[in-house]
Order: sequence, then C-alpha cells, then structure tokens
Amino acid sequence: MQRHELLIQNRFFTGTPENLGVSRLIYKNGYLVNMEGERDKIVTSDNVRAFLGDKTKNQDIITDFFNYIENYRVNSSNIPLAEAKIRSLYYNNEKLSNVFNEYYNTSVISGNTTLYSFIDQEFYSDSDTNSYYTTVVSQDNYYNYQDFMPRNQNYNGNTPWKIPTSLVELNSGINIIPGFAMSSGVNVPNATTEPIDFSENGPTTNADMGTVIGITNPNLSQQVFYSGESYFIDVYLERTSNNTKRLTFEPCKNNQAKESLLTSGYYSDYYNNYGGSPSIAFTAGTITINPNSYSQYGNLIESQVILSNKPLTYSAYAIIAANLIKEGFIITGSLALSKFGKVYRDDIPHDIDVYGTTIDHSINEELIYTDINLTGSFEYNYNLALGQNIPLVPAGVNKILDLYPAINTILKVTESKNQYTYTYLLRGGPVSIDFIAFKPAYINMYNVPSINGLATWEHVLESKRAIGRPKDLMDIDNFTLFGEIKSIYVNTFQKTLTQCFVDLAYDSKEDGFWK
Amino acid sequence: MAVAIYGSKKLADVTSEDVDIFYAYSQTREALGDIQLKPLYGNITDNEFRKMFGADGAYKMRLPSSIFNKIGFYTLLVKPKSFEVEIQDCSYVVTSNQNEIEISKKGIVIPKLQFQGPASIAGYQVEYFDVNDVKIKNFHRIVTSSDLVKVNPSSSLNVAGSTTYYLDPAGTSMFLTLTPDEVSLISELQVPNLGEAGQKILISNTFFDPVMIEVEMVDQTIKTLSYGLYGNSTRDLETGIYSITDGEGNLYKQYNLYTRKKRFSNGKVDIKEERTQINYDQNFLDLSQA
Repeated sequence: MQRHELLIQNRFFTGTPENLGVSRLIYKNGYLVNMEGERDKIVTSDNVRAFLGDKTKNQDIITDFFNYIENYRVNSSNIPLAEAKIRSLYYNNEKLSNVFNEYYNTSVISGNTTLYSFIDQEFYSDSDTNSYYTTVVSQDNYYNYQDFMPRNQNYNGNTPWKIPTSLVELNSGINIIPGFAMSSGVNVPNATTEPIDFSENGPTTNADMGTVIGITNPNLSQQVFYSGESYFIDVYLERTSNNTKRLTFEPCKNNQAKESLLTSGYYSDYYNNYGGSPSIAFTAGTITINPNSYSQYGNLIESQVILSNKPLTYSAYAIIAANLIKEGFIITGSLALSKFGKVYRDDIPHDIDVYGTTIDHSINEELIYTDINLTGSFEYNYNLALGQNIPLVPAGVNKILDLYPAINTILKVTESKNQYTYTYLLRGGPVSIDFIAFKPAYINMYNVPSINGLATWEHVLESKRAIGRPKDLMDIDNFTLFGEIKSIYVNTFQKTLTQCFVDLAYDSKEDGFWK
Repeated sequence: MAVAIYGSKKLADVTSEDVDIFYAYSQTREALGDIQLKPLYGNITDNEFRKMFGADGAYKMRLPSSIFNKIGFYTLLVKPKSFEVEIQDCSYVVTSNQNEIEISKKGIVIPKLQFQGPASIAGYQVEYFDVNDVKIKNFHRIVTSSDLVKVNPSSSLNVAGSTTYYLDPAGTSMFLTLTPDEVSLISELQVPNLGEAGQKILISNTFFDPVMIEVEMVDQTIKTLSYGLYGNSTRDLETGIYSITDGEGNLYKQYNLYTRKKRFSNGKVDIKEERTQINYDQNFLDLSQA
C-alpha cells in the first residue's frame, strides 16, 4: 500500500480549530460554510473554477449558466443591486459554487427553470452587500444513480450526470461519485465565447469581464480566488495487463463466412431471391406450431397443416421451415411469413410481433426458412397464424408441407437446466463446429435425418462426444446427463464466432495452465 | 504454477474522469474508526486528481484540509469510476444487409451514456444488483462491444423481450455485448445472466487497478523534532521563557521553565511547561543580537 505521512498544518486552521471535527460550519473566507455536506454537489468551492473554466467539456453548461446570471440581471428591478450581487457572486467561490450547484440540479438535471432567488439567497441582506454570510445546509448523503435517466435533452441528447440525493445503505455497495464529462461533440449554443471567464485565472482584462453584468473595472487585488487549502500527494496507478486473463476479445464482423454461422443465436438467410410469380393468395389450412416440441427439430410436425391453434407456451425464437408443394410433386415456391404472418395472443387479440425477413426465395430446394420472433413471456399462449395474404406463393401451390418449427436460442428462461443450444446446419459447403469446453461437456446429438441435401449432424460430429478439460474428462463416466436429452445440447461455453464474446478456450497454450 | 504468465504491469493512463476517490478515517490503530468509505469529492476534476507530465502512472491527488484536519490515519481508496444504470432490455441486435448474412448478437440495452464515444465502454465491467438492490457478489461481465442502436421497427414494444435492435449512430440506446454470455449446462446453479430489463447494473472502467493509500496525519515529523534538538533557541532567565525556533527564525514552540519547591517536603522540581500564550518578544534575531 502506498503510504504518506503528512504534517498537519496549523495554518489551515482558520477560525476555531478545536471545533473542526465537530461543527459543520466553518468560518472561511468571511463566510460560515458547511464543509461536511458538500459532497452531494456537482462542484465545491474548491473546484468550481476548474469546472466552469473547462470550456472544452462544459461549454454548453457554462454558456447556459452565464445566460441564467445575465437574465437575473436583466429581469431585476434594481439592476445596480443585481450587478453588485453578481460581482460578489463572481468574486467568491463559495457563492459561485452554491449558485451553480442549484442551477445544475434544477436546470441541467431536471430541466426546470432555476429561480433567481437562488442568487438572492446567497446574500444576507440586500442593503448590505459587503457583509453577507451564507450557511449551506445539505445532507451528508451517499450516491445512488437509480435516477440515471435522460432528463434533459438540451445537451444534444447527452445525459448530464445526475446528482444523487437518496441515501443508500452501505451494504448495497453503491458508493458512487458522479463524474461529469460532457461530450466534446455537443453543439455549442450561440454564445461561443463567454463574456466572463470563470476559470481559476479569473478576469485579467476588461474584455474578459464583459460589460453586461457591470464588471468593468476589476480590482484583482480584492478578488478571492480560493482554490482550497490542501495537501498534495503522489499516487501511482498501474494496470495489470492480465486482469482479464482468459478473456480475449473478438471483434465483431458484419460478414462472416457462411460456414461460420453454424452456431446458436442466429442463422443465416443467404438464399437469393430468384423471384416468384405472385399470383394467388394462399388460403391453405393451418400448421401446428408447437414450440415445446423443440426436441422434434428435424421432424415433421404435421404435414399439410398450417398454423393451428396450438398455443405457443414457450419464450423462444422460432424458425419455420416449409416445403411448398404443388399437388403431387415438389416445385419451387416462396413463402412470405414475416410481413404477413401474424401472431395473436389469446387474451389480447392484437398483433404481438412478427420479426424477420420475408423469405421470397424460390430456388430448387424444398426447405425455406423464415424466423418469427415469438419471444415473450411464456405465461401467455400464442397462436401463430398466417394471414390470408401470402402473395408470393407461385401459381399452383396449394399446400405448404413440412413445416418445421424449431426453437433457437432461448434467452428468457430462468432454469439453466433448460438451456439448450440449437445449431442449424446450413447448406452451402463444409461446416465446422467449434465447441470449446470450459467445463466438461457431453454432446448428445439427436439423429437428424438428412433433409433434402441439408447437412446433418452426422456429417459434423460423432453422435456422442465428450469434450472438456483433460482432468475432468477422466471422470467422464461419472457424468450424469440430463434425462431429457434433446436434439443436441452442449453443456459448455460455446464459441460462437460472431457473437463477440470471450473465448474461454482451452487450447494447447493453456495446457500447462490447467495441469 | 507460474504466476503472471500473461504479461507485465502497465502504467495506467487515466484522467480525473476515470477515478472514484473514497476515504475513511481512524484516529488511532487501536480503535476501529470509520467502517464506511465516504466520497472524498463530489466531482473530481484535474484540480483534485491530475496526471503528472512525463510518463503515465503518476498522479497528483489533492487532499482538502477541510477533511484532512485531524491527527490520525486516513485511508484512501482510488478505484475506477462506477455508475449505475438500469437495463432497458435484453435482446438482440441484428445487422441488416440485403442478400448478405444477417447476424444477430445478444446483449443488453442501456440508455445512451455520456461517454467519449459510442464504442468507448468496450472492456468495461458490468456488475449486477439483485431484486433487493444488493450487489451480487463476485459476479461480473465484461463489455465486448458497445454500439448505439435503435429499436427495430418490426419489433413489438408490447411484449418484453421481443424487441430487437439495429445499429444506428443516431440511436438513443446503447447495446452492449457481454462476455461470457453462455452458461454451463452442467450446473443448475449457474444462470447465463446478462441481466434483465429493469435490473440495475453497475458499470465501471477497467483502466487501472484500484489502489489503497494510507495517509497518516501527524503533528510532528523528524524535521520538526529536529527543531528541538538542533534548532536555535533562547532561554530568557528573567522570565523563564524558553523559545525554540524553526530553521527560518520563526517561533516554533515556547515553554515556561521554572523551579518549584515541593509543597510537603523538601526539595525542588524543575518544570518545563508549554506556553499557550506566545510571547512574541522572544524573537531569536533580536535577542541573539541584543
């Protein structure tokens, strides 16, 4: 631990030092101020100059704050008095920070109009502009950002930091200090240069002062630019380059090789649209969609039935594959589900959601895919129904055959036991699956029949294979598999090439690590 | 097993915006003292925490005398800045590329944050609060990408979890992918938790390792003790005032020296008593030059 020994400096004890540890009020710079409760404010008297002087980051707020002061002057019934107050405000860090804190909380955070009385209340008496004092009362709170939501869009959509107000218990672990960093890219309002320089340097020329608030003849010797009596220590910070060891990052790639898409969470729709002749409306029957039948991936649900009333009782991401059949023989065809497919909820008869791209391809393959986002709470039942308008079905098609529902990645399931990984094998060349075992894994594969040229698991994997760390695999016989083995599951972290998540790979380089 | 096989330490290159500073005070090491860290500043600027020029890793930190005003031990914790955000959604972001491959990534959606840029929080860590607003211990995720997104127009806003997003630099939400985002299926105790809509998370940077600094406020140092040993001093035999000066001729300590007879027995006691009323006439320069 870095350690410093500092000689306490009696010269810092202005006022009554014996009370410093007791009283909240400290006589400082001619004012009684509260130094204990200042930490729920955006600035203190120590750093208000630094904050308001940082035009790079805080340009918008500086300008607005100045406008607030200027409007106070303009709207005052006694302009000379207002200007005197502004001068006093400007020359005193305590008052300036008090007013700015009020302004920040009111206007910046909440988007309300800051009252001019916040300036007035900094002065004890209007008639005595030289001997005011102010008492700042605030609570010694800790910081909770639960209200961290955009409140004010004035700053080009950038959210000002919320100053927390509510007390948070220590054991909740929230002890947060607001950071404030206005984006440097925000629009600068009309006043690009403030007539007042709020920075620590203070006004040095008349031009800096501006005439608008009546500060035309600064007497620098009378100014109090209080930067805080402080100690300064050196701090050494380092970064451990392996603080995220075993975590490596993969960049997102927008376009992956098709064969790399053999993973859960998405599937590829790379069929080209060869067009179809939109002719007849599709008026076939219904197909049963039973999302609970994910174990039946690759199996036909029911032939020649389209979208019956069996409820969707599972939150899932469904992919539907179908053959378009002309009586007696297979022809090419198209099916548009996503634009016209409707999902109805039993109890609330309105559209829930249809997501996905229209599949209007019709090459010489029988299976076409679309995906329909059926995610939702599985407390509800859903009926999946095709609308009556399916315009891209070629002439002659009068049935949709072989509709395969399948459940893709399940997100909203709380029981980890039910997390299964479904991987689609897409046509179009060799595929590889990159299963990476983080923990001992056991792949049990449902024997998916080869369907019209689509690859099946047999082409890729042995039907059963255990993967995992060597030392764990020694105990592979002791594994207890889930009784409800579905089409495939892999109890491992799976490396999915396009999902940009961390490779927890066990590889040759780490062999020694694990041993 | 070998340690630190992955590399070496690096000097942290951070600014005042990246740090949180807390403190706690203990008067002595014999008492418990504060058990609660308090924020040292409401807002940390370069005024409070300033990088030193010349190299990374070294910073000047200001300690306000209004807080560091007691003899004792101050413990300072400098850690990466944290802030709390509520997850808006947990869903997919989908790329749309006609005739190309459509890729989705799962992750969490949070409000657009005020950072340097939309991609600026890759590498940050995410911690989670449970339903009771208590931070889940020893559980975190790493942000692997952050992009501004908009709600996919084909999404339904009526059903939680059914909304998907697409990349849009003008978006008002930020989509974060996290790692790891898969769960081990062999343990029923683990959940693949990226978070849920409405859940509070704590995001903090990983720019540096937290440090703890101990600052001991003392009323004497070796330097001040040396005044008593080696400093110039005067002893006024008329008034008994013994004055010690610092190295610059300023009065540092002043004592009354006198001898008192014991009250109930014979004998005398030499007494050295620190004065609270300083006699400023005991100026070393004046007295030594008579």
